[in-house]
Amino acid sequence: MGANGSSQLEKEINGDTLIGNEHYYGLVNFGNTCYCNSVIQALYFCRPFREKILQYKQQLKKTAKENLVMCLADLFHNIATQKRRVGTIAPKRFITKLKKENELFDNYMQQDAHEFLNYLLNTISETLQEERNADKERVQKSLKKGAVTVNISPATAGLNEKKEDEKGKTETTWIHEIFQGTLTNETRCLCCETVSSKDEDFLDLSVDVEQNTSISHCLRVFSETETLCGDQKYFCETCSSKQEAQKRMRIKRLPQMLALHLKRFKYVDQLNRHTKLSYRVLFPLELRLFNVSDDATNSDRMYDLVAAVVHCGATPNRGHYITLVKSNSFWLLFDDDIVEKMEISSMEEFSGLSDGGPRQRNAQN
Amino acid sequence: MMLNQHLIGPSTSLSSNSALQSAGLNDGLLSSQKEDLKTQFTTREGTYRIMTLAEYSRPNRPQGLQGATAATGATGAATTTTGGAPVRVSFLTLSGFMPPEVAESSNRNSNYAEHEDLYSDKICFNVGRELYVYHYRGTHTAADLSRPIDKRVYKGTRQRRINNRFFSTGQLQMIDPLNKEYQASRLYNEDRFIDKTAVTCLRWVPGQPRQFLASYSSGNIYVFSEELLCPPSQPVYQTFKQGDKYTIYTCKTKTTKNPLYRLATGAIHQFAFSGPDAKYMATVGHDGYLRIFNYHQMELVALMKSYFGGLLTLSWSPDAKLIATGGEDDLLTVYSVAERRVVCRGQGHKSWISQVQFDAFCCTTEEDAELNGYAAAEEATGIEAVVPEVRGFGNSPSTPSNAIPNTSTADANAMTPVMRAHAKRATPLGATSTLSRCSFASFGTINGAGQVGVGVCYRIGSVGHDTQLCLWDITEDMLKPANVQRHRNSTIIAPMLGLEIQTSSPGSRLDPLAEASPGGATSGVYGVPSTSSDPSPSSAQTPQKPEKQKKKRFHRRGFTLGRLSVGGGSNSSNQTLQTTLSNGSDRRRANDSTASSPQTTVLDDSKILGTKICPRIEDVPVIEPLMCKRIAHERLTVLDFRRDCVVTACQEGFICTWARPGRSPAALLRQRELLNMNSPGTLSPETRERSRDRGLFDRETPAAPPRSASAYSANGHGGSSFQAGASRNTDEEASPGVTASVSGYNWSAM
Repeated sequence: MGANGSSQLEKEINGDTLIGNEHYYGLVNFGNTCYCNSVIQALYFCRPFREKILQYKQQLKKTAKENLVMCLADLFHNIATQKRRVGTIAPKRFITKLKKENELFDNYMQQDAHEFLNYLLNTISETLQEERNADKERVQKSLKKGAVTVNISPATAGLNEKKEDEKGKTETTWIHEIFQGTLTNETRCLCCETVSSKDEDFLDLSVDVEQNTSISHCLRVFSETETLCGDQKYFCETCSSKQEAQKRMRIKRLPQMLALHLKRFKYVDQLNRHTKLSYRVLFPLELRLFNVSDDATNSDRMYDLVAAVVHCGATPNRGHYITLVKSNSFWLLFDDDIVEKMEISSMEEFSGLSDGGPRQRNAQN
Repeated sequence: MMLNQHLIGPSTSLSSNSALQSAGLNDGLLSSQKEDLKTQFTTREGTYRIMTLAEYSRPNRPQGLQGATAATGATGAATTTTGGAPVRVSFLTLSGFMPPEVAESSNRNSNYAEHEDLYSDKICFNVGRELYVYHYRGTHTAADLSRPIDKRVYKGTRQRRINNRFFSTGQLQMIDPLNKEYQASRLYNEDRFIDKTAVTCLRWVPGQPRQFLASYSSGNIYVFSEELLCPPSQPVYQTFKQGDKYTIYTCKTKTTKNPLYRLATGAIHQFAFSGPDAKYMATVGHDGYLRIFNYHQMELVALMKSYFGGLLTLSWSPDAKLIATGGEDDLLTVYSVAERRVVCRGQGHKSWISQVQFDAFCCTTEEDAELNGYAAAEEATGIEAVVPEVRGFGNSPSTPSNAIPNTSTADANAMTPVMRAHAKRATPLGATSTLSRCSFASFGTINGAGQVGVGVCYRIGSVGHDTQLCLWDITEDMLKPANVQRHRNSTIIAPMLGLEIQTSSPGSRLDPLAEASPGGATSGVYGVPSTSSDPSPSSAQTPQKPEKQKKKRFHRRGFTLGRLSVGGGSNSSNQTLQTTLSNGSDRRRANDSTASSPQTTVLDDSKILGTKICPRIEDVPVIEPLMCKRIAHERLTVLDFRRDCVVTACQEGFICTWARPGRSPAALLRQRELLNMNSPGTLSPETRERSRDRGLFDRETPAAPPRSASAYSANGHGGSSFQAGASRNTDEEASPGVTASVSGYNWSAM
C-alpha cells in the first residue's frame, strides 16, 4: 500500500519538472511513534529549521558526543541526500535516542505531538546553548591563538525588554530566531487604573477552540480581556493591595514562524480525564493576526501555512497523527511511511472533526 | 496555558463505556448550544421570524444519509459528516424572459433553477446527491414536502465520489422540472472533455437568455450556449485576450461549439453579474482576489484582495456600485466599484463567510434617495405602517403576511415607480406616518443616529461557517471617500484600553466628521422636514450628545474589535519604529504612496498590502454588524433576500424562511385592530394573488429604506464605534429573548 502510494507520487513528481530537488520520505512507525514522525515531517518542511539543522550537521565535529540534535540532523541529512525522490526511511536512531533521553517517551504509548514539539525545540535550544558555552570557554582559553569571534553570549535567562539592537540579543539561538515571539501581558488595576505590562516570550501559542469558528477567531478569543476577581485578585503595586483587575495578552513581536496549538484535548472534571473537542475550526492557507498589541512591529505580517499536524481519532488516548505539508505549490499528506499528494480542496476536511495538534505557519517576508 | 497534562494511556484502556461517555459529553455540549439558536431576530425595521412550517428539506431524511455522502478521507481522517456538497438553493419567479430550463451541475449537485410558472415561485435545491424542486410559497403557506414537482437522484455522482476521493465530475445538465421529457438530451461537458474538475458556480448571462457561465475549481470559467453541442473531444483553444493573471481563450473549431469562451484566472469560488445588462462580471477566488471584468469587452477593470485567505463569496449592490465580499479572513469587505477602493470591512463573523447578499429590498440607492428624498421617507414609513403584523406568525402559516386590503398604499411591496408616486401621495395623511417616523426617530436617538434623514443606505446580509447570520448597514457617510482619507494613518477601531479614552479629550481625539457619522451627517443632506414629534437630536447640531452616548455604549458593548488595530496614540512612534526595522517596512511605506492601478502593476502579493487593492486594517473603517445571530446547527451556505422573506439554508439541507417584519409600533396597534375586524381568511383573492406574484425581477424597486443607524466606526477612538450593539438591544418592540447579547463577548474597557 505504502509502496504503491509512493511510486504513484514518484511518477507524478518526475513528470513535473517545476518541482525542485525536494525529497518526500515517509517515516517508519516504531509502535505509536506517529506523534514523533508527524512533528519531524512538519519540521523538515519548515525550511529555515531544516537549513539550520543541516548546517548544524556540517559544523559537527566528528568527536562530538551523540545527542538528540545530532540524531535529528543525521535523519534530515539522510532524507535530503537520498538518490530517489520518494521513499521511506526508518528514524531508528532518533527514536532510540529520544527514548533514552526522556523517559516520558520511553514506552509504546501514544504521546501528545505538541508536547513532543515543545520538548524537541527546547532540547535543541538547550543543546545549542551548552555547546556555545563550551565553545566560549574554549575560546577564552585559547584567545591567544586568535580564534574566530563568533557571536557568542552566555545563556542568561533574563529580561529582554527594551532591546535596542535586535542583533544584540543575548541568549537566543536560532530556534528562538525562528519560532520565538513575544506576548505582552497588560493588566489594569480597576482601582487606580494603572496599567502595567509584562512581556513574555513564546515558542508557540496554545489557543482554546470553539465549535464552528476559525483560527482567527480563536486567536481573538485568546487575546480577550479577562477580569481578575475573587481568588484571582491582582496585587497592584500602586494601591499596595490586592485589587480587581483586567488582563489581556496580545502579541507584541511576531515570530518568523508562528506555531499554533489548538487545545482540542480538554480535561473534563466530571469524567476525570481528557476528552477531545472535535470542533470544526477552519484554518486558511494564509493568515494575518488581529490580536497584536499597539506597539507591535510588523503587525500585519502575512503568514503562509506550511504544515499542519493533525490528530485523527475520537479521544486523546487513541488515534493517529498525520501531517499536511506544503511543498512548492502543492500539498502532501504524510502518514507515517505513506506519502500522498493531496488536493487543496480537501484541506477543509482536516479542519473538521478530527483535528488537533500544532500547526506551523511561515512568515512570508 | 500549555497542555501540561500528559496525555497518555494505552489504547486498550479505552473501554466502550468511556467512549459512550465521551459521546454523551459531546451531546451535552451540543445540546447546550442548541438552546441559543434564534428563531427570530430584530432589526430597527422590525422582527424577522422564522416560519417553522415553511422549512424545506429532504423529505423523510434517512439517518444514514450523511454517512453515505461523506467523503472517505485518507487514513480515516475525514470523519466529517459534511463531506457532501454544500446545499445550493435557487428560486424562480414568474417571468416570460427566462429560459424554461434548469441548469444543473451534477458533480457537486449544485443547481440553479429557472423555469416558468404562472402563480407560484419554485424552489430548487440539492441535498447530497438528490435534487428537489418544490413550489415555493414563501411566508404564505407551509411547505408540502411530500409533493415535490420534481425529484431526481444522481447515482452516478455517488459512484464517482467513491472512486475519486474528492468528488466532482464537472458535468452540467439542464433540466426542466415541469417538462420532464426535455432534459434528457441536455448535458454539457458530458464526457468531461472540457473540464474534469468540480463546478463551483453557475449562472445565466443576464440579457442573453441562451448563454450561461460555469466556473470550475480548475480555475476556468466557460461560456456555454444552450443550443450548441459540446465537442466530442478535448477542445483546442486559442488565446483571445490576455491580462494580468488572466487569459481568455476561444474555442478553435470550424463550427461554433461549446464552450464559446474560456476564462482562466485561478480557482474561482463564485462569480456574479452586475445587473440585467451584464456589463460587469465579478469573480472571487481561492487566491483572495476580487476581479471585476467588463463582460462584453472581456477586460479586467478592477481588482481587490482580501485581508488574507481566499474569498468565497460576493454580491453586487442593486445599483451595481458596490460589491460585498466575504471569505476566509472572516471579514466582510465592501468595495466601491466606481471609486476602486475598499469602503469598509465588517467584523462580526467567527468563521469564514460563505455567502453575502445585498438585501435589495432594504437598500436605498443614490438614485432613490435623490429622486425621492422626501418621498422615500414617507414611503418607508408607509410600508412600515402597511405591512401587517400578524401575531403568532409561525403558528398560523395560512395567514397572508403582506396584504391587508384597506391600507392606503395597498401592497407596498409590489410598488412600481407608479405605485411609488401613489404612495407618496397617500401616506402623508393620518397619524400613521408621523407616528412611525416617530418610532424611527426614537430608534435614532437610541442608536445615536439622531436623524430621520433619508440617505443612501445599503443592507447587506452574510452567513458563514460559524452558523451565524449577520446584517450590516452601509450608510452614506461610510461611502464618503473623505472619511477614509482622514483615517489614513490613524486608528479606526477603539483601542482596548479604556484608559486611553478617558484621558483623551473627545474633541481632540475624535474627528469631527466621524463624530457625526453614526448617521447625523445625512440628515442635512436630503432635508427631510423635521416634525415636531421628532425627538431625535441631530448629532450635527449637538455634537456633544452623541459623544456621550458613544462612551456609554463603549462600555456596554461586548465586543472584541479593540484588539484589532494599533492605537492612535502610539501610531506615530510605531511608524518610526518600523522604519528602523529592516523587515519590509520600507517597502510598506513606499507602497502607501504608490496607489498602483491593477492594469499596470505586476502583482506581488507581498507588496500589495497598504495599496488600494488591499488596504491595511487601520486604513479603512471597520464596521460591526447591525445584527448577528446564531440561527442554525450547521454551517450556513445559502442566503437569499426576497420581498416577503429571507431564506437561509445550512449544509445539512434545511432551508429556512424568515418572514420580514411587518410592523412598526404604530402599525402594530392598527393591525391588531384590523385583525380583529378582518380575519385573515377573508382576504380577497386579488390581494393574495398580487402579493404572491411578486418577482425577483423588479428588484430595483426599493421598498424600505432603512435609517442609517448602524454599526460604523468612523473614527478609531473611544467608543465611537459601537452603535450596533445599542441598536440591537434597544429595539423598541424587541420581544423577550431577542435582546440578549448575541456574541457573548465580554467587553470591558481596560
